[in-house]
Amino acid sequence: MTRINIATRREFLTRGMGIVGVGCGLPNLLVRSALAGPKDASDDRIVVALLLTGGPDGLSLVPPYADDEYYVHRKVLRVPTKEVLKLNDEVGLHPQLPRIKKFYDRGDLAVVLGTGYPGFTLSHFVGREIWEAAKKGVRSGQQGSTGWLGRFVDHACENPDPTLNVAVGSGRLPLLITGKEHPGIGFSSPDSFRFLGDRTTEGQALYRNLNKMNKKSKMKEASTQADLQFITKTATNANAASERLGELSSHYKTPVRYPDTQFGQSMKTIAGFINGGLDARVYYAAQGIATFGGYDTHADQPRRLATLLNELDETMDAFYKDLARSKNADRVLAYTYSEFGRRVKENHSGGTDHGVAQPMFLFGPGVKAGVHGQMPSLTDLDKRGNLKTAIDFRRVYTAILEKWLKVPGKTILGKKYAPIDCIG
Amino acid sequence: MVAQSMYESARMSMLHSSNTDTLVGSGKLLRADDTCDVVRIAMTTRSFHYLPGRIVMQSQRAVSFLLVVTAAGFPATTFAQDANKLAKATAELKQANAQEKLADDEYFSREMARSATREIARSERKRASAALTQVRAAQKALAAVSSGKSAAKADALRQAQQALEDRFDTMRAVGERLIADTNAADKASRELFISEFALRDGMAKTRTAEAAVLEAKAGAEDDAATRRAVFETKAVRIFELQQWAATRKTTARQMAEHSGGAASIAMRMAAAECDPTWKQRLTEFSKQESLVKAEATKVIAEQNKVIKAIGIQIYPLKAGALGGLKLLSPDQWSYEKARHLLVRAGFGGTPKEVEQLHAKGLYKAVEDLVHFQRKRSTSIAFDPVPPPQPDFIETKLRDKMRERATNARLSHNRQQINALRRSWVQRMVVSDRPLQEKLALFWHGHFATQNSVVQSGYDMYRQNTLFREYAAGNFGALLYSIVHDPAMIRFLDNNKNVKGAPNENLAREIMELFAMGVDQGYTEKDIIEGARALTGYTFSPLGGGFRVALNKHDDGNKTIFDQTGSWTGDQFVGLILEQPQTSRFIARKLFEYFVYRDPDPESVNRLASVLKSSNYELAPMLENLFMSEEFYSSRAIGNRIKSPVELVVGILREFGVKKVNNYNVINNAIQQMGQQLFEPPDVKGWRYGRSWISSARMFARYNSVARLVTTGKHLNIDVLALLEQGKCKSAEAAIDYLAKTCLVRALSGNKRNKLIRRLGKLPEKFPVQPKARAAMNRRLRAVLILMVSMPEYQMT
Repeated sequence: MTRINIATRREFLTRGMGIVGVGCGLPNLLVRSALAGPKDASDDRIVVALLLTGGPDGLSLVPPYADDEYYVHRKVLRVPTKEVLKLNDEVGLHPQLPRIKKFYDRGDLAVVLGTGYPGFTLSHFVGREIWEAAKKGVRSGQQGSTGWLGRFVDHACENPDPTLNVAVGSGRLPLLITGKEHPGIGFSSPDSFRFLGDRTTEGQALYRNLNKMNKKSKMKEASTQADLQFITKTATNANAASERLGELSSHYKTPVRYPDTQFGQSMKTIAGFINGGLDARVYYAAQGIATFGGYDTHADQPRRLATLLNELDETMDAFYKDLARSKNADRVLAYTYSEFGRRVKENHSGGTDHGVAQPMFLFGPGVKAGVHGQMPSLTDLDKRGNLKTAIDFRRVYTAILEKWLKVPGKTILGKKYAPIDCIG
Repeated sequence: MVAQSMYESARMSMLHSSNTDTLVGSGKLLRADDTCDVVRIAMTTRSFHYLPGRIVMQSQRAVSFLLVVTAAGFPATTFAQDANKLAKATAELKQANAQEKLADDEYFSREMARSATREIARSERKRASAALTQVRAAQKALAAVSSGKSAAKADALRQAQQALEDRFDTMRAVGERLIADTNAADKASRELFISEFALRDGMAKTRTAEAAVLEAKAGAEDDAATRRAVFETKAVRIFELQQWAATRKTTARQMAEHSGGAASIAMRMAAAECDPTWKQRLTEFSKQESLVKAEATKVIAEQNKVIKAIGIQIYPLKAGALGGLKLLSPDQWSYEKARHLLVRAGFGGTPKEVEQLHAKGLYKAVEDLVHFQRKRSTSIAFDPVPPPQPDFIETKLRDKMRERATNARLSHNRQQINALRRSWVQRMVVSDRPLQEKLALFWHGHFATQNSVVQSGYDMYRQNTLFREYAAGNFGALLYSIVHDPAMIRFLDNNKNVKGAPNENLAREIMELFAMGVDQGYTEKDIIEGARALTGYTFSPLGGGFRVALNKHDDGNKTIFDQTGSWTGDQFVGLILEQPQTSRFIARKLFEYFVYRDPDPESVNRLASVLKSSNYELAPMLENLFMSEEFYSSRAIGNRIKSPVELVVGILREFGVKKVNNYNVINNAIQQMGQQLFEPPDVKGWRYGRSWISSARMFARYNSVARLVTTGKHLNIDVLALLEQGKCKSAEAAIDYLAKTCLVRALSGNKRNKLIRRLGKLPEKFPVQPKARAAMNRRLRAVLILMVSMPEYQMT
C-alpha cells in the first residue's frame, strides 16, 4: 500500500481523493465526507479531551504559592516556593511542568481554577460520568447514554462516519465521546479496532469478501431485507474505517519524540490521525490508567505526581510540536479534566484524599492564554474540609462549544451557562 | 343449571387450553395423553371418569339449553330472506335435537346394559378362579393320598376322588356361567359401539344445525361475536367427536380387559380339566375371547388415530372462536419454519433438535413450547442473599461508619447481581423451557428496572423470579404483582408516593409503558388520580418486602376513567385491565417482540381479542401467534436483528453446548455488544432492531463470538461432532450443514464456494484420536468463525 504522506488536511482532500479512489471499495460515505470538505474554519476544528485519571491534586499542579494558608495546610506536600513556575502573583505551575510553562509564555495555555459543579461525589466512576456527560445521573456503558462531545458530533456531523469520535488508549468506549447517532470508536491500539477472528491474510481477505455489499442482491434485498442491508453497510463502513485507521497509524512517521508510555503513544497515534487527515472532530485519551491509581495519590504523592506530571509535560510538548510540523496545531484544542480534586489538608501517609474542585488546562493556539477563574479560598472550606467550587465546569464547556466549535452550548448541554473567557 | 355450568367450564377448558396447566398443577389431570388432553381436561373438569354416557348427555342438554337462550334473543327486524333461512335452520335444529334425544336414550340404556354385563362377567371370572383353585387343591390332595401307604388308603382315596368330582362339578357350573355371561358382555359391548356411533352422529348433526342457525344469524347481522360463535360451535363439534373417540377407546379397553381375563381363566381351567369335552369347550371359548380382545385392541388403535387426526382440526376452529389470527395450514410446515419457531420462541437449537420439533407437526410443536410447564424446570445454583443491613440503619450511621456500610452493601450487591446475571444466562443456555426464559427477558425489557438505581441484587432476583413465574401466565396477575414489586417500587419512587404528596412516576409508567401506551385512552387527570390510588404502596424498611403503609395511603375518592370510588392501587390496576387499549397494547408489543415491527392494526386486534377473551391468559394468545400465518410469513422469517443475548445464547444452543465452565465469559460477551441484563437503558427498555448495530459494535459482535468459538477453556464448540451427526462426507456437505445449523437461508453460491475452498478437502474418514480430532476441530472452527462473522449471521 502506498504510504500516505500528506502534510495538511487540505492536501488530503485534494490528493487523498486519489488514494480513496484506488478501487479498494471504500464506502461512499468516506468519499462523500472527504468531498464535502469543511464549510468554514470551525468545521475543521478538533477537540482533544484528556482525562487525568484518579483526581489530581490541584494545589500541587497549580500551587497558590503566595497564599500563606497553603503552607499551613501542606506541611509535607508543599511545592517549595522557589521551585514554583510562576504564572502570576498568586499561582504557578508544578516544577515538573516547564514545557507547559512555555505554552503559557507563548500564549498557548489557559488555566481555569476551581472548577466543579454544585454538589459533589467522591466516587471515581460517578465523578467521571458527571464530567463526561456534563449532567448528573447518566450512566456510562448504557444504551442511550451520551457524553457532551458525543452530543456535539451528533449535532455537528450529519454523515455516519464511525471515525468522527475516537478514543485512544482505553479498551472501553468512554462516555465522553459517545453520541446517539455516533457511538464512536475506542481502542487501546488501532490494531484492536478490526476483525480479530482470523488474522491470516487469506482469512482477512475472505472476511472482507463475505462482508461486502453484493450488487446483485442489493436491489432484491432493499425491499425485503432492509435490516440485513443496513448491517452489511455498517460492516463495510467499519472495515473501511478500520483499514484507514490502521494505515494512518502504522505508516505514521514523525521526527518528534514522544514518551514511551501508553499516554505518550496514544497521543502520538492521535497526532498521526490528525496529521493524516482523518475526519475525526473529537478525540479522547487518558493519562494514568497504565500507572496504578494514576493521580489517585493517597500516599507517596510527591514522587508519583512528579512522574505523572513529567509524562504530561513531555507528551503535550511533543504533541503540539508534532501538530505544528504539519500546520495542524491551530485547529486543535486540548483540555484536561478529571473525576474530582483532592482534599486541602494532607493525610498522614504522604498523600491526599478525594476532594472537590480542580484546575483545568486548555492547550493550543486557540485559547485565550492566562489564568481564569479564581483560586478558591483556602480558609473558607466546606465542613468536610474541601475547597468550594468557584466555577461550574460546564461554563468552560460552553466556551469550547460556542467560541471554538461555534455551536450553541445550550443545545449540547441542555442548559445555558455563561462561558468563561478562555478561548481566543 | 348444573349441567350448563359444567358444560361451560368444559368449553372454556377446551378453548383456553392454558387451563391445562392449572389442572396439571392441582394434580387433577392424570397423565396427559398429548393428543387428547383437551378431552381429558373436559372429563376431569366434570369429574366423570367412568360414566362417559352421562357426560355426553348432560353436555348435549346444556347445548340445547344454550341454544334456546340464543334463539330467543334474535332481533325482530331480520330481513325476510334471512328470516326464512333462519326459520329453516331452526326447524332442522329442532329435528336434529329430537333425533339426538332418541339416540341418547338408546345409548344410555345400552351403556347400562354393558356396565351390568361387564360387572357380572367380572364376578364370574372371580368365581371361576376360586373354583379352579379348589379343583387344583383337590387334585393335590388326591395325589397325596394315592402316594400314601396306610391301611385306610382305599377309603381316603375314595373320599378324595369324590371331593375332586364335586369340585369339577362346581367348576363346570361356574364355567358354564362364565361363558354365557362373557358372551353377554361381548354382545353388550358391540351393541354399545353401535349406539355410540349413533349418538355421536346425532350430536354432530345437532351441532351442524346449531352452526347453521348461528350462520343464518351472522348473515343477518354481520356480527363478529356471532361469527366467532359459529367457530365455537364447530370447535365444540370437533371436540365432541374427539371425546367420542376417547369414550369409544374406554369402551374398547374395558372390552379387552374382560375378554382377555376370560380367555386367560378359561385357558387355565382347560389345563386343569380332565373331561375332554369340557377341555375342548374351554379351549375354544378361550380362543374366541382372545379374538374378541384382539378386536378390541384394534378399536383402541383406531381411536388413537382418530383422536390424533381430529385434534389437528380443532386448532384453527379454536383460533376462529377466539377471534385470533388465521393459522398456518399444517401442510405448510417445514424444517425452515420449525427452525424459525425454535429461534424466535426460544434461542434456537441444533439441526437435530429442529428436526425433532419439525417431526411433531406445527400444532404440537407450538403447544409443547408454549405449555412449557410440562417440561422439567431447570435447577441452577444461585444463592440469593438479602442485603447486609436495611437502608434506614445505614442512613442513621455517622460519616465513616456509613461510608463503610454503604461500601459493604454495594459490594455485596455487585456480587449478587453478577451471580444473578450468570445464572440467568445459564438458564437461557440449558433450559428445557426456552420460551419461559425468552418471555422472562421480554418482561424484563417491558417492566424495565435498572439495578444501578435499585441497588439491590436481591430485589432484582425477586423481580426476575416473578417474570419467570408469570412468563406465559396471566398478564393481569403480572400487572398486579408489579405494583407490589419492591424493585419496581424503588425504581419508580413509589416509596415516596404518599398521601398529600403524590409521586406520579409509577402511575404514569403503568399507563404509558406497561399497559396502555403513550396517550392511549387516558388523561393526565387519570394519572394523577392513579398516583393517589397507589399512595402508600411501599416496601418494608426491615425485610424489604411489599407492604401498604395505611397511614400514607390516600383513601379519598378518586375519579379514574370516569369512574369514582376510593380506589386502591390494586383497584386502579383492575380498572386499567378493563380498558380496551390494554389488551391491544400488550398484544402489539408481544407481536413486535416475536414477529416483526409495525404489524397492521387488524393483526393486533385479532391477537388482542384472544388475550381479552381468555381474560389476559397469555398462553392461548402465544399459541395463536406461533401458529399464525403472520409468524411464518417472509416478512418475519430471517428479518430480525439478533439482540446480543440472542446472538450469544444462540450460538451455544445451535451447537448444543450445554456445559460452560465460566458464565462470566458469556455475560461479558453480551455486555460488550451493548446489552447488560438488569441494566436496560431506561424505563422504556431495550429498543431492539438497528439500535444494536454500529461500526464499533460490529467488531464487538464479530470478535466476541469468534472468541467464544475458539476458546477451549470455558466452553467447547465441537464442530466435528456436529458434522458427524449430520453425516457430512465432503467439504461441500460440511459447509451446507454448518449453514443449515446457523443461518436462516442457504448461502449464496459465491459465498458458499469461497467457504468450501477455504475449508479444503476433508479426509475420507473423520479422525478418532483426540489429538487429530482437536486439530480437525481447529480447522473447522476457523471456517465457522468466518461464517458467523457475516451480516447474514446477525439476522434471525
